[in-house]
Order: sequence, then structure tokens, then C-alpha cells
Amino acid sequence: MPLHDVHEKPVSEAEKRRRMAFLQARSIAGPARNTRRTMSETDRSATAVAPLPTNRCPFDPDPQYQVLRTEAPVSRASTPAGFDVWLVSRYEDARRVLADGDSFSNVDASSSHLMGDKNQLGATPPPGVLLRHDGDSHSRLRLRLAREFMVKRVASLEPFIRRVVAEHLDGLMEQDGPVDLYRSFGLPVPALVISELLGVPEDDREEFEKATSAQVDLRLSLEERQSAAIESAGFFARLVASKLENPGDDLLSRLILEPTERPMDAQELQGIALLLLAAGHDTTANMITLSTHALLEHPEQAAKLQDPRVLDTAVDELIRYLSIVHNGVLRKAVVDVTIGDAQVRAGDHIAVVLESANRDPEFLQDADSLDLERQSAHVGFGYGSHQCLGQHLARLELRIALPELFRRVKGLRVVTPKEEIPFKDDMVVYGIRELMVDWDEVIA
Amino acid sequence: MRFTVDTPRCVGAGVCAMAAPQVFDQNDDDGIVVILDSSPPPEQEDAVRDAAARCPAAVIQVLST
Repeated sequence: MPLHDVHEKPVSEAEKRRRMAFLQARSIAGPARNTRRTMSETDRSATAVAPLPTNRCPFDPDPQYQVLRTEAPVSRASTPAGFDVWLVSRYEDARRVLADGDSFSNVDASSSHLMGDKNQLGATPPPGVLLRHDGDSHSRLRLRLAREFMVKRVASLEPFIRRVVAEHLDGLMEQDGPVDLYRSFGLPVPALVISELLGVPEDDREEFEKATSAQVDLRLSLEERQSAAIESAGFFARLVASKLENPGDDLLSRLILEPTERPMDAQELQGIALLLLAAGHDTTANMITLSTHALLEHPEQAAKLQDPRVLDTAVDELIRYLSIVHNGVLRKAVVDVTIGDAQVRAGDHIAVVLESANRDPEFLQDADSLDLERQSAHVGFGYGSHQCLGQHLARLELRIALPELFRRVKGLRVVTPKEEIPFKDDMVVYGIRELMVDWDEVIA
Repeated sequence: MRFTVDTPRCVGAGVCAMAAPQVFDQNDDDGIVVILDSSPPPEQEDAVRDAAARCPAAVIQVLST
């Protein structure tokens, strides 16, 4: 088998031997490679499959993906949930899978392979949780929500977001460091924004946040996560009941009041609320915190943040570079289908690895570097009909929060020693659990 | 410059309205693409190409000029 890398500099003999050893360890090299792709299910399960690569370091994807992209771009991997998946590591294949809703279903939650119980695979998707619906059932929900997250609609939230960001930076001004940037800035800003949009009463915000973050904390046992899910389901049931009884000026109330042939029932509204709150705050919170750390590690890039022209591309480049939705988003093949040179059969699961696709040198030159001035069609928000509904809101929050943080907080620095920074390898969404920072001065 | 949009396949993500706001908008009801300028001036070409490349449903095709 030829072992040359066509995209980068020539590979040394030592590197070739290292790669061969790596591929053999993953059992994807050698003469068996082609035959095992058409093995029956019994044969396939008898073959030892290498585990899903999950060692980020720390902004880059697991280094195994560099080799997988060139040598085995669609390969089998075992997962923490106890079932095997096809790992899709190249940009082109990633877009092809995510765009093809006819061949690939969302019925199993996108992170089932990381946190799920494999007995739950194939379960009926909960009402309203549009991430797990396909076809018409998905587009009915998606199009009714799209208006709430349109570019022009989101733009109207700018004054509120600016106020929340300013208040939290004022808060830093009043205290001495070091403080945890995640708790004091990264998390509260998006949590307040999505709570405002959805109409979560202020008194309830802490309760909802605790319950939703416990559900995706992979340090907790499956039982603990399930009990957190039950707790948050109770919270959302009460929230929706209060909106049904007493609608206000918020997203849930607008869905309730909207004249339509098929009104949403309480269960659907609960599913929507749960999905939007969970997806809408932890992701952005992690992006704010992780971006701050990445920018402090790339001061020449951080300096460009104050240029409004750069801001148009900067946020998307950070989303691409950091790819916080990591370790694969799950799809299930509903027909026999070919991805690259792999024969995928109906019923197989596919994990599309966004952090690898976003670093594919065939998609983007010098993809491993951070360059805030470049534009790219990255897949950090996913791709296809399930692409992030709240992407314009996330962009706006980041394009306000990051430059304001760097403009107002002078001498911002991380005080935790690098090797002790608690990165969230063990969470569904990547980030930093606690980022202790200090500064010289906070200006107005 | 000229382009085509396969509107029935639009998923309402609004990436075009962000990338080329002088050429694309979104319908107020469902976020589906609305074409503001079907033959935009040459200075809009980069923005339209960007919208086409980033559209998550790949419904925008730029016609060679």
C-alpha cells in the first residue's frame, strides 16, 4: 500500500513506519483493509476495532485524524456507548453525509455514541426536539423556529447583548482577580441571552442551568445524567405550562399564540425549550471561554479583534479552528450507501468528525493555523438542513463579547499553569471547565 | 453577474442573508430565501460566491460570467 502524503511535505521513512504501526494498531492497514469493508455484521463485530480518538491537544483535534484523513478517511471505531461507528474525517465526506437527509437519519441523538445507552438507539425521538427529527417532521419544526433566529431578527437583540456583556465586565471591574472567566463571563452572558429570548423567569435561571449542564457532563454516571434529565423535564414542563396559561413577549409565547392549522402541543413546546436552552447557552459559553484562551495564546491575532472589518471573519474562523462540537455528530444510514470507498449498510451509524473536517488541508490551506482574516465554508455549525439554528445569535454574541473583553480588560492573562487547565475532553461540547484569569485594569 | 436559487430546497438557515445581505434576504414567516437582486453588480460577486459556497443546502449556483 502506498504510504505517501500528497498534501504536505514528503514523508520520511521513520514517519512511514510510524504511520504503518498506527494503522495496524487501528486494524485498518494491510491486505485485509479492502475485504473487511464488505464483511458481514458477524465478521465485523469479531474484528477488534480501535476506539474513537478523543485526545485533543488542546485546540487541535486528536492527532490521529491527520493520518486517518489521508489513509483511512472512513473507518470503523468503537465508542464509549458500546457500539461501533463509521468515522468520517474528511471535509468533503462530512458535507456529503450531513447534506444527505435521504440516506442518513438523525433519529438517534447526535451524541448517543458518546453518552447514550446503546439500548436507546432507534427509540422514537421526543416531540419538539428537532435535532432528532427527519424530513417533513423536521422541516415543520425548523421553519416555524427559523423566523426567530433570522439574521435581521437576531440583530434586534444586539442592544440587550451589549448591555449584558457590559454589566458582566463592570462586575469584573469591581473585584480583584483571579476569577474564573467561564463562571463570571463565558457562561452568564449566553445563558441570560437565551433565557431572555425564551422567556425564562429570572428566578428560575439557575435551576435550569444546573439541570441542563448535568445532562451532558460525561463525568457523571448514566443514571445521574438520566435523573438530571428528569429534573430538567420537570422544569420545562412548568415553564411551558406557565406560558400556556399566561403568554408574554417571548419565543415560546409566540409559538403558542401563532394562528396555525397545527398548533404545537405542550410536549412539543417542552422539547423545543429544552433543546434551545441546552444548545443555546453551553455552546456559546464554551466558545467564549475557549476563544479567550486561544486568543491569549495567539496575541498577534487577538490584536486584530478591534478592527471591525476583521470581526466579520474572526468569529467564524474561531468556530472553525476550535470546533467545539467534537468527537463526531451521529447519523444513521437508512439505505445502503457508499461514503468515500466505504460500503455503509442500512442501520450502520456514522460519526461525522467536525473538528477533523475543519482541519482538512484539502478543504483549506494551512488549516491548522488560526487566521482571523480568512473566510471559509467551515462545518463548525454543521451542514445540511440541521445546521445550527442559532448560528446567527452565536455569531452576534461572540462578536460583541470577545472584542469587548479584550478592549476593556487590560493585561488579561490566564493564571492557571497550562498543564492544569481543565479542558472538557469528557463533555459532548468541548471547552474549559474553569479558566482562572487575572488582569491589570478594567476600563470603562 | 447571474446566479440561480433552488428555493424549494432552501432550509432557511440564513447564511446567504448574512454573506450577501444586498442580494439575499429571508422570508419573515419561515426564513426561506428571498432574492433582493437577481442580477447584482460585479462588486457583489465575491459575496454571492461566498453565499453559494457556505449555503448549507447548496441551493445557490453561480453562473459563469
